[in-house]
This record gives sequence, structure tokens and C-alpha cells, in this order.
Amino acid sequence: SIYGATQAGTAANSVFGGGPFTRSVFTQSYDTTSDSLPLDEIGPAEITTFSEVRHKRQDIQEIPDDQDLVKIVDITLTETDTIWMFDMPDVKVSVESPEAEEVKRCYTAYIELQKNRVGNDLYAERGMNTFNESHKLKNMNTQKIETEDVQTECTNWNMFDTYNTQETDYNDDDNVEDEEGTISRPTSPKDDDADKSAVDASLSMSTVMKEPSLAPSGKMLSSQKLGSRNTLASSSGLDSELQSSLNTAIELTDKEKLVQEWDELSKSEKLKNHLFVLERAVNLNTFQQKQAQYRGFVPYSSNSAEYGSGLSDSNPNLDRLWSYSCNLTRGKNVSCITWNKANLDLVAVGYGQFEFSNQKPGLICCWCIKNPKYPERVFATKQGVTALDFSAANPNLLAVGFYDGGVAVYNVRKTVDEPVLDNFTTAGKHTAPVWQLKWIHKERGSGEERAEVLISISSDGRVCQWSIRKGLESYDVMKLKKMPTRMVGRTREKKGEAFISRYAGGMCFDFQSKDSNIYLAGTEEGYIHKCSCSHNEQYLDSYQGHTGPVYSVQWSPFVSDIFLSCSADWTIKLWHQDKTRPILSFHSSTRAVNSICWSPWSSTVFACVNEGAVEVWNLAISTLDAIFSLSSMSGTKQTCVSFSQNSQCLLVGDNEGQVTVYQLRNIAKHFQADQEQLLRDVIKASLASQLPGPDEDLGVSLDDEDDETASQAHGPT
Amino acid sequence: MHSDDIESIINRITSHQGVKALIIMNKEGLLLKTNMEMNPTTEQLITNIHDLTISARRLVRDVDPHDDLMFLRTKSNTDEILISPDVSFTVVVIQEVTETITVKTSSTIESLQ
Repeated sequence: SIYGATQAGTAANSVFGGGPFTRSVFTQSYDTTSDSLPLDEIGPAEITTFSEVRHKRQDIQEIPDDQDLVKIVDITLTETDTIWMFDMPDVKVSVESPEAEEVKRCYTAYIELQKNRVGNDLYAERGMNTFNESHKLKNMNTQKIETEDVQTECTNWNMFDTYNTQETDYNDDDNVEDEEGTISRPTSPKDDDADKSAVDASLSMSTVMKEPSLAPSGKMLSSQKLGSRNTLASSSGLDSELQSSLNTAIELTDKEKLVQEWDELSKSEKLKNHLFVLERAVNLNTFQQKQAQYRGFVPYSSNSAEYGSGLSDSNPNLDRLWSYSCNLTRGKNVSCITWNKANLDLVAVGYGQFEFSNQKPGLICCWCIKNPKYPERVFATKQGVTALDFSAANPNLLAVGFYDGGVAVYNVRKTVDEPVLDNFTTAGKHTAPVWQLKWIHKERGSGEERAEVLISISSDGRVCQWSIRKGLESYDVMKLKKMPTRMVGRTREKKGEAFISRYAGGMCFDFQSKDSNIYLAGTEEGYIHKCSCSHNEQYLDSYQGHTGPVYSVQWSPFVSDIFLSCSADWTIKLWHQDKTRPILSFHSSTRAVNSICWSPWSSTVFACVNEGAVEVWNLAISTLDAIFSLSSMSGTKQTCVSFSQNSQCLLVGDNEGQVTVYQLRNIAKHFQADQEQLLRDVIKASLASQLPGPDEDLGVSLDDEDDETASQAHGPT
Repeated sequence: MHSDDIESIINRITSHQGVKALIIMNKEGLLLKTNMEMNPTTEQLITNIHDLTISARRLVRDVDPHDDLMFLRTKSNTDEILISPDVSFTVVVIQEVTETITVKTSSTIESLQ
């Protein structure tokens, strides 16, 4: 049933026939109303006569009752087909066609007509009347059309982002739902609509219809133009899951949402990375001057008189930059320091007590130059740590030796506190503290060609090689037998004395850089033995000189025949590998020398620490005394020293858990062309001034071509 | 596990010399965590920092959309504001300025490498 009085048609087009400006009266104008059509009538848009229409109307007039009044009626307004009342297409005639003449004649006749029309009696103006249809005003109610102002910034990167997200949408259907989830997360309406309008604009540009999962967003496009986001969500037919999340999100207050967000964020790794960078930036701000000095930059002083290193500052000295310590390391004894081979800013420090009576759980900290306040990695261990070394082949592997003889390998990439490998339960474990560990590149290994193996030395007298193929497997490279004591002026030891073990405890070793089969091992007895990996029973050579345990032995990085050793007998000795007696002996204090280190840039410089002071020696200047000595005020004992590889700095560890970074100034002139020759010259000079001792082997000289030194040595006497 | 590390790093940063404030906000500029007291001045500061980050990001990405802002430092006479932005959050640290130093780059490059 059709209700509603509808307006009777639109203006009917009056139809003019015939030529222009004729005098005939159009009788059809009276009929125009009959031809008018009620266009809003549902049904086929056929041309019906007025009488028919009227007839229909009379049929269907009924009196509406109550039920009919409240019934909801769907009225669909549709556009009818276009009704062509008059169609006169223009005709085009080619100039060359046969009709052209006729057409041209018509044109000219028309032009003549127009000219003649003006004052002609034949033509008269005449007005015409049409019926005035009665007007009716119609009102209509709709729901309030809510409008919203939406603006979006269309920048280079906005478009780039949307294209990118669109591509990932195509590639990954599963993520579309999440995408929509993020879009409808309660955020400020402006931004949200801006995002959506950007997305929708781009969607409409491409063929969206292929992707059925994107269809809802297509609907969003059409209905988004009107209405707020809430009605949008309800009318676009999204998943129920999404619907419920949207509802719950709306229910939370703003503050709770933020708390929820923070909870999620505080577990994320991204936040940790950002905080890590910030921590370093903050540290850099505080330590900027020290770090610049570390890197070798010389700071300007405001007072121009002290610009750079003036004349007044020409004495060698150590400048304290900063020290690594935190509450974890307080009170622990620094037992070893080692640098990372790949990242020269990274240093690993091991903490463990030297004495048997004072054992505490140990600690390994990896410190970085860029953050002096807190270590990058902290590994806690049950036993005290006595030896450390970073691998060169795999720079993330750190080998650790313990006081109980255990050896473990840690992966410093992870922050996990567990070692990757350890030998705590294997049979080949050392039975005494592991005093030194090194990763050695073997050229002629037993079976494995150019692998890196771990060598350890311990007080139980064994030098062990560990391979990391499957767990830690050991292989005894050497058993350090005790030397029959034949010290100067003493006879053989009485046979009655009971030996605890046939082996001498090993304290340190160093492989030769030229030949990785040859190495030196220092023992508790004071001997240094030159050994080879191919002979595991015999020594190639034994060097006597020290009267106490040898704590450290190091080949010179410049001259491959020279090595340096330090011992608890207060001395440091310089040796040549062909002479079993030391060439030079350095004695500067009455305290045991715990550690030495050759300087990596200068062949005549080395540093040593004894219990209470750090000393730097430069043999080119003096072989009798250190050129610089820094004593600790507070009574701490220095235990370890190491030169930095990428800076003019020295790291010194002490028994309070502090590792202090000192910068060396004016120690030696760098850029000397021939470092090797420098050292040889020094040695030659010192040998020349020495009186020959009773046991000294005078036949051996340092250089092949130089026999004069030997004869010179005799000369002055 | 990460949350413990994050807590400890936050503690270390806030107890570092000169650090006045640490602020973490989400991508709309709403505050997630801070160690400052909440008063209108702080809120104004946070809004301004957020706007600055947006402007800086716009600068970087307009030039090359492949690029994105990584870090932003703003130094004033008294303070330095360190801003580390991310897609979904921003971390800000305000530290007091210590003495600024200038260094001379050595003319002879020593064999440190």
C-alpha cells in the first residue's frame, strides 16, 4: 500500500516541434499535465496516461488503522530510467559529400532569414501561458547527521608508510586482523580517523576486491564519511572478537590503559635497548673529558699557558682517568684482566682470591670503555676466578679458569649466567688452581689442522690442551717435572725429603708468536722451561734465575727472542731464549711482583705491578729504575696490569675490586721506525757494561754478525 | 627477565650524576613512567618534548622516508635533554650540564690502530 501524497510530477518538458519562430500555437501545452508522471511512484517507469494514473489512485485509497500507523514501512526512493522526450542529435555532413551543397544552401538561407527578421512584419513576438502547478511543502526527519572534521597530513613519509603497510598486508593475511585491531584502539579521534582516511584512500586506489579479508575496510570507507567511530564499529560488521576488544577498551579509563601499556612495555626488549643507549649517553656526558683523553684527544685548557703538553709537563706520568668498580665488585680481588680480540673497547675482569684461606665466590665482569659505571655483563661463579682469555677465532667466547681447577667457556653475547661448556665433572680436570689460560692457534695439531685450542696451566704441574669440539676434552701437553735443584752454591737436595708430587706447579706460560709449538712455562720453583708441544716429557731448555714462583712470563711483541718474567722474589728479569741466565734483572722494591705487561707500541717499555705500586719502565732511558712509579695511598695491593690495545692507557687491578684506567703521558716517543732494533741496542749496551759472571756462556752472542760485543765484554776487565 | 634488567637500568640512570629526570611516554605523548613529580610545569614540559620529537621526526622522514629518527639531544645553558624515540614509545632523560670541554685532534695520528 502506498501512502504519502506525493507531489504530482516534475515540470514537464514542453515539446516544441517544427522550425524556429513559427506562429503556430502549441495545443499540446494543455496536455502537458496529462503527460506528467508521478516520478516517485514505485513501479515500472512507463509512460502512462493521466486517466490511468488517477484510476489507480482511487483504487488504493484506504483508511489506515492503528496497527498500520505504527508499522514500519520501507520506502525506497530510486531513480527511474531517463525518459527522453526529445532527442535531436546533430548531424554532421562532410564538405565533400553530395549533400554538402544542399546543407550550405540551407545555412545561407537561415542567415538571410535572421537578417530579415529584425524589422519584418512577418515576425511578431508572442507570449505564452502555462499552468501553474500547485506547490506543496514537504518536510522530512532523519537522524542527526553527525559530521566530523577530519584532517590528515599527507607527507612524503606518510604515503611511504601506508604503501609499506599495504604491502605487508598483501603478503600476510594473518596480520590483517591485528591491523584492524590497532586501528580501532582507542586513541584520539583525529589521529585515528586520519590514519584510517589515509589507509582507505590508498585502498580505494587499488583493486581491493580481490582480498576478501579487506572487504570490511571497504565498507568502512563508505560509512566512514558519516558518523563517528562508534557507529562505524557497530555497522561495519567487524569480527566479534574485535568488537569485544573495542568495547572493553572503551570501558577502561585512560589511566588504566596507560598502566596496561606500561606493563607490556616494561617487558619488551626494545625499551631495554633504548635505555641502554641512554645510559651510555648519560655516562658519556659525565665522563666526556676522560673518554676523550682515552681516545687520544688532548683537551684545550682555558689558560693558554698550559696549552696541550707544555714544557713543564715533559716528565713521564700517569694520569688517572677513571676506575671500574661497582657495588658488586667491592672487596673482591682482581685476579686477571683480558681484552677482547674483536672489540678493543671491551675488557673482561675476573675476581677471585689468591690465597687458599680466603676463598669467596668469584665474579666475571665485562666492562666497556663507554660505560665506566656498570659492567656490560656480570657472571657470578661459585669458585674464585683465576684466569681469563677471550678467543680470537670466536670473539664472543671467554674461557675462565677457576681456583678449584675447573675450566669453563662462557658466551658473552648472552647474559645468561651459565657457562656454555665446563669441565667440572670431566676426568681431566686440574686438581689445583688454573693460573693461566690461553687460546692458541694451532698450526700442526693432533688431527685438527688449524683449529683454536685452549691451553691451561695449573699448580698440579700439568699443561693441558682442551678442545671444544664435544664438551671439553683434555689432553696433557706437558707434565712439568721438578728440576733437580742445582742452584748456585748448593748441592743436591737431601733424598730424605718427601715430595708432595713429582711435578712442579705451573704458574704461567706464553706461546711464541712465530712458532706456535714452542712455549715457555714458569713454575713455582722459579724455573722457566722452554717446551714444545711435540715433546711432552722433556724440556727444550730451562732458564734459571728466579728464586721464587714465577708469576708471569711474556715474549716481547717486537723481538721474538726476548722475554720478560716476574716473580715473587721481588725481581723482573729479561731473558734471551738462547741464554739460560737472564740478561737483565730489574729490582725496584721489596715486594712481590704480581704481573707485568709489555707495551704494544714501544719495544723498550713495560709496566709491572707489585703489591702497592704500579711501575712503568723504559729500558731505553734506564735499566736500573722505573721511569715512573705510582704508589697507592690507601694500602691496596695491585694485582694485575694490562696495556690497552687502542689507546695510550694502562689498566691496573687491585685487591679491593677496582680496576683503574691510567693514561700514560710522555713515556716514550712513538713512531720509532725500528722498534726491534731499539730493544736490541739496549740489550747490547747493557751487556757491554756487564761484567761477565762465572757461569755465563760467553760464546753466544745476540746477533750473528756481532762478535765484537763479546770481545768488548772482555775488554774493560 | 627483561623487566628486572629494565628496572635496574632505570635505577642506574636516575642515580647517575646530574640526572634530573627520566620520562617514558607512549606515542601520543601520554606519560607512562617518570621520576618527576606531576605538576603543571612537568606536563607542559612533556607536551613540548613530544612536539619537538614529532617535528624532528618529520624533518628526518620528509627528506628520506626510508630514514627514521634515532636520537635527539637538545642542550641549553643549564640542562641537556636526551630523547630516544621509538615507533611506539619515547624515552627522555634530562641531565644537568657539566663543564663542556673542547679537544684538539692530534695532528700526528699515532699508531693506535
